[in-house]
Amino acid sequence: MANETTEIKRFMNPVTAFWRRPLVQAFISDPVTLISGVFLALIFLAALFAPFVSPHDPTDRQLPLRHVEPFSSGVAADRSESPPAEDNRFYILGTDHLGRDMLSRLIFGGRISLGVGVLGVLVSGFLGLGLGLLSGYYRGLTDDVIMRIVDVFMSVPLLLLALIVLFILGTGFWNIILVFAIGRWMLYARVTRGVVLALREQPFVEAAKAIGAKDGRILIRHVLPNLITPLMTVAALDVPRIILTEATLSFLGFGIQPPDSSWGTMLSSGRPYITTAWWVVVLPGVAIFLTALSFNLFGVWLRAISDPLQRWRWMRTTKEAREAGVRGA
Amino acid sequence: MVRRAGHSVLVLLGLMALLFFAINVLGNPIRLLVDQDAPPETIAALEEKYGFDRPIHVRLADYFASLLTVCQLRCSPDFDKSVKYKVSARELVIDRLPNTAVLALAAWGIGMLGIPLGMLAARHPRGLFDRVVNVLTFAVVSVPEFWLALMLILLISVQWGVLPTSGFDGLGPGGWKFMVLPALTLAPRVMGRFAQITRAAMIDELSKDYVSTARAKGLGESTILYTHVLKNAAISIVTLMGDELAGFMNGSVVVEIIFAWPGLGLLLIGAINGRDLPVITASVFVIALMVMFVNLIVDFLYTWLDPRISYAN
Repeated sequence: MANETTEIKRFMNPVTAFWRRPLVQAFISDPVTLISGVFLALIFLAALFAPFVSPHDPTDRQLPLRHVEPFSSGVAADRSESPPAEDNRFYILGTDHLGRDMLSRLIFGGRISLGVGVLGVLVSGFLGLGLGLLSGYYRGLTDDVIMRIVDVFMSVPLLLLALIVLFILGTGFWNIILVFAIGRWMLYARVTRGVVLALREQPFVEAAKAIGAKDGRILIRHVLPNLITPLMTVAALDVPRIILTEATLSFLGFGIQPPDSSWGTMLSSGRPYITTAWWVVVLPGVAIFLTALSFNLFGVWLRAISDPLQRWRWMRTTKEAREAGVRGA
Repeated sequence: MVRRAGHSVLVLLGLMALLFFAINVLGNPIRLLVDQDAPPETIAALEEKYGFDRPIHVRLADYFASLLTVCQLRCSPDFDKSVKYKVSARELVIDRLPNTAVLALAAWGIGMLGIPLGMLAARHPRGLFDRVVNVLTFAVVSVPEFWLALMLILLISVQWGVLPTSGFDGLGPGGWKFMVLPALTLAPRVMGRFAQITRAAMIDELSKDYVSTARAKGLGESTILYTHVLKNAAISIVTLMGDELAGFMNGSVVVEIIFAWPGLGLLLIGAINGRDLPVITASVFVIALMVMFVNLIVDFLYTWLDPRISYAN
């Protein structure tokens, strides 16, 4: 009887049911993954709703208030009225060399940095997916040609490729996305090809062929769903790399150009003031670092959880896992 | 082995063709050299001088002929000299190459410490030590190198005044002071990757049957770990580190710029900013050659680590 009541209760409460799902439990029970996941959610929300959450206008210059220290306030001039009204402002993270609020600039800069990261992964992912599908499914000459091109691209350092492409095409947001598309597609092409090569010999693909399904239908309905998890794992681990590379490019002056600014641009423009105002260099770096770290840790968890051989280590509670680890080693 | 080396050469040629295509077809090399509003006569004169008025296939043939025969690294006749330095681009690059190589060796030498770290972590997967190492290694690979470089300068050079902020004083004994900070900036990422790769490879190997056999016949845990497992894991470690090398060049460029270290990266950035096409071509060629060379060494290491692998046929 007791059993039945709990069954009914679980059925009646979808929140509890969701809470008890193994995947959710695995996510909650690992503190590192939980923290990185929550952090990612927060910065994505902040970037998405940047105009609503940023305390001040990120482009509002208050020259008398240059390099205001974090956690201090200053009297700014509100230029929306004329004559400008006095506006007492509190700067949580201080101001930069033009008196712009650092926190607001970090939030708006996050839009660009995260945008480049996510769009770069999406564009290169779809390009690699398409070429990988062609290569793995049709094999033969197509495969040879595509894989040789992959070899060539694999041996080019990403930054080198980026610098050359941006040198020829000029800088700009979409050119940077293009750089990552042509600089990172090989990863996805390789993974896709590997999975497709294994799948095309499987009985369910044979069966689909036997009932007369066309290539396109087989690829989209039967092969593609099996690719989502491996590609998502690669993508999650590649976002931080793209964010770091974009920051490096912006730092070198080949990336996002003013008036737009990413975290890398902010760091670069703050560099001359490193000895007098540490926060203008430290804070964007911390933002890049924490974002990349969270993506990496979350990506590793995703990879482990989607690998049946590793999953058990993460699914159990910490103590059990540790004991199992001791036994296993 | 010859076949494997031939494959590398083909990849390298493919890459150089890509560069040629990028410079000559996507962009206009003369337009990159002159001002936006240069008169057409100037452009025509330059085109004639550097041979850009010839058909593209002739230029491509010439470009490859110069790469293959004399390694003169020129985009066209009379175009092998650096626009800025007025000396042969090849000499410039060969001059800078040792500086980059020494910095890379120093960073990778320190980075090797990641191997024992990864081995210790792999002994108890998901144990406390493993978790700490896991977060730490991901932390160091998530740090932007240019930021780490600035922080080190701020702390060690500016606050404590121990080491010079930047500069270069030859590769001899007098120049070591200038090398510490660049090497310390580059090393953590290498170390983190080494630790991650070693850990993954060791865990993978530890689950194999021969480990159980070795335990069953009563071998000590450290004998198993160091003589059997590590040797087998070494193959994966070597492979993945070969892949890392191309990524390493990214950090090297930035570090050279911040510390004014006269290596290939600094040369390349200077060439890009100065629109110095011959130097760009030559640097890209040499960097690609280096990556290719290390990959070849990695492949030959396999045959030594695992005699089952052979490139004979």
